[in-house]
Amino acid sequence: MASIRFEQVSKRYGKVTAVAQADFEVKDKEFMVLVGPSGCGKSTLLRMIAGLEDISEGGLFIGGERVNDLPPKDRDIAIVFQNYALYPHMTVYDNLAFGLKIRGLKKEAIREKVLEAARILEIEALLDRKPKAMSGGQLQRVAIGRAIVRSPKVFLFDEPLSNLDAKLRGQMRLEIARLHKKLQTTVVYVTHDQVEAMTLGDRIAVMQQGIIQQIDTPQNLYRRPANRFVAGFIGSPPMNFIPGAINQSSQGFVFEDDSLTYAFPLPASAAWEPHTGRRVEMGLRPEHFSARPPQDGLPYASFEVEVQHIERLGHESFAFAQWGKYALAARLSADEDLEPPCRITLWASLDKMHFFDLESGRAVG
Amino acid sequence: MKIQVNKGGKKGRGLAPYIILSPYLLHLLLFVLFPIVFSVVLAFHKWNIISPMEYVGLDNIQRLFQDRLFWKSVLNTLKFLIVHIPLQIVIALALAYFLNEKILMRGFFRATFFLPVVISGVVVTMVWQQLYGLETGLLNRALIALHLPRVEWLSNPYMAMISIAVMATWKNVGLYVILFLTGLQTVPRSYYEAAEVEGASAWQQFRYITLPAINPTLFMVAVLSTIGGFSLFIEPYIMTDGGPLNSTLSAMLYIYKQAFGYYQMGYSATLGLFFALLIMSVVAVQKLVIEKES
Ligand SMILES: Nc1ncnc2c1ncn2[C@@H]1O[C@H](COP(=O)(O)OP(=O)(O)O)[C@@H](O)[C@H]1O
Ligand SMILES: [Mg+2]
Repeated sequence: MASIRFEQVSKRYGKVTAVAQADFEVKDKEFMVLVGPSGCGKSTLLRMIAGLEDISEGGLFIGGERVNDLPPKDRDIAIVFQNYALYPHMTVYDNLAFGLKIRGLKKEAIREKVLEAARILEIEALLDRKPKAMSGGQLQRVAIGRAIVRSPKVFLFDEPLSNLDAKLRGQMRLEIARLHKKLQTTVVYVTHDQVEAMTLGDRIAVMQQGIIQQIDTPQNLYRRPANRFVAGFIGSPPMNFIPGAINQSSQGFVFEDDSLTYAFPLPASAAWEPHTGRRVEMGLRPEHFSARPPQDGLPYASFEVEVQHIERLGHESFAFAQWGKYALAARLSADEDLEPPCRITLWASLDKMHFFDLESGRAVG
Repeated sequence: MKIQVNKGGKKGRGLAPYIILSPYLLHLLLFVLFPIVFSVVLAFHKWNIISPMEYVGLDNIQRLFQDRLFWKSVLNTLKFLIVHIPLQIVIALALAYFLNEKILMRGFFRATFFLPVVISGVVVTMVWQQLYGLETGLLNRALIALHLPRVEWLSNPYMAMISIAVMATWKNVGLYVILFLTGLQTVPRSYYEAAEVEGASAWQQFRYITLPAINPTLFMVAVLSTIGGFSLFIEPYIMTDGGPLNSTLSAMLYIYKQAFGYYQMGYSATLGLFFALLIMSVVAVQKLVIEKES
């Protein structure tokens, strides 16, 4: 059993609060991703699990045991660093064997474990090489090899793929997912890359300025972002936001944009009641626009836009357009033949719209 | 395909580079090249500065091999090196290690340990002469206060060279601390963090990570302090004049005495050249070892 539980954990460096009252649990065997912009406190949170940073406040539990004062070596964890931290003067074999040797294992036992780890990561051919003579992808494998060789209860990754090129990153992503399935170990994985987060995580914790904004499965983060930050962070290109207000009209609740030029009816629900008259932002993802009216019979809205630029990716295109005074991004199917600048109508189902209180950022409705 | 090599554009630069370099070239000519050539000439002559030079062939070289005092001075210098170099390396490394940690007033300590390096060797030697004084020296007074027997720091022939080596270490260690600090700072933090997670103790981290990482610095320090140690001169010149019983007579001091004590310019030049060859061969061996290591 190796769940990791944070109970009101904070970390302060002098006046800077790097992590504020983290309170959540990583379940046994779960793949948890910490994602957020640079400097939001992800590494600090991870390093507290490893024992490389003291905990200023709160309690940290691994497998039910309070580990606040346990040194890193006694926590039965392994960590993979962004720069790999492989020892340059040692061969791959010695790098993998180092921790086992330190722990006083017998030579044959070490050999067996190192070879097993090398086999799993397909780095047997590299065992006699030194790090200097290897590519980024190979170094990455070796670094992971060093982590799995001790069969720890918990794996920690701190941006392990950010030194690799895009193609290799994709490969290693798959590989890490495969490894997790095989080894069935609790993983905490830090990244600033939302694609990595979405593809790897069983659950994702989105952080901003030391505060965990939302923890949920990738699907739920995407479908039901808890606040404007999460909504804008997950998804690429990011969600479009249009400021306005929720008002009550004769037809029921409506969203009216600031210039009072547009008004969309909102689904009939009592949930709007407390927000009536409040300033909100409407959020709509680029992929929820379409150049044709939806055929599913659901209520929709239309946007007369001026397309200014198109990015064609082959299988799809992104249109960057002006709608009144707002800039919108929309994903279009690749066979829309547009020559910007041009005027088109974009359509979107009302049920794809998100609303966030302008002041608190919290999702409403 | 032909590859064009830019030869540095010889044409069109004219004399400018030589003019810019001329102060240095002049210095090189007057104070490096001329003395070397002149001492080679001297080595085959007898000359007391006042009377004209007298050609003596290989006499000086023959004399060198029979000169017991010269060989004793070489041995003395080696004794000094044997104490000085390991002491220097161990202390410099230890200081650098602690000055690399997050300790209070780190900058102050870094500057302080470097201070003796920039103080004149003469001044340092005179201060240490006081410290080492038999009756009134601070060290012996401290020993007596602790009811311990006093030590003949400079008057015991077995002790004197060790005392000088300790002083020389104190004087130079700051330079090597700086070099080691530079080496230590190239080791990424994550190496230590990875080792800590693996369970390596502070000593194991030092042994398996720090030491291999600073290997190049280690050898550089060894070479520099060897060359520095061979030129041991000011300290015995001021403190002991080579005594007692010639136990601190370093090779450099002996060469100096031949020249400016006995006015044996030719013989002194011979010794100087021979000793230079000796230093060069030691450094060449060290260089071989370094290249083999890395
Ligand atoms: N050793 C430290 N001393 C002072 N401040 C630090 C230290 N480490 C991190 N911080 C601060 O804590 C915040 C979070 O840092 P970090 O966890 O490294 O962010 P991330 O990994 O998400 O980029 C940042 O504002 C950073 O400047
Ligand atoms: Mg980080």
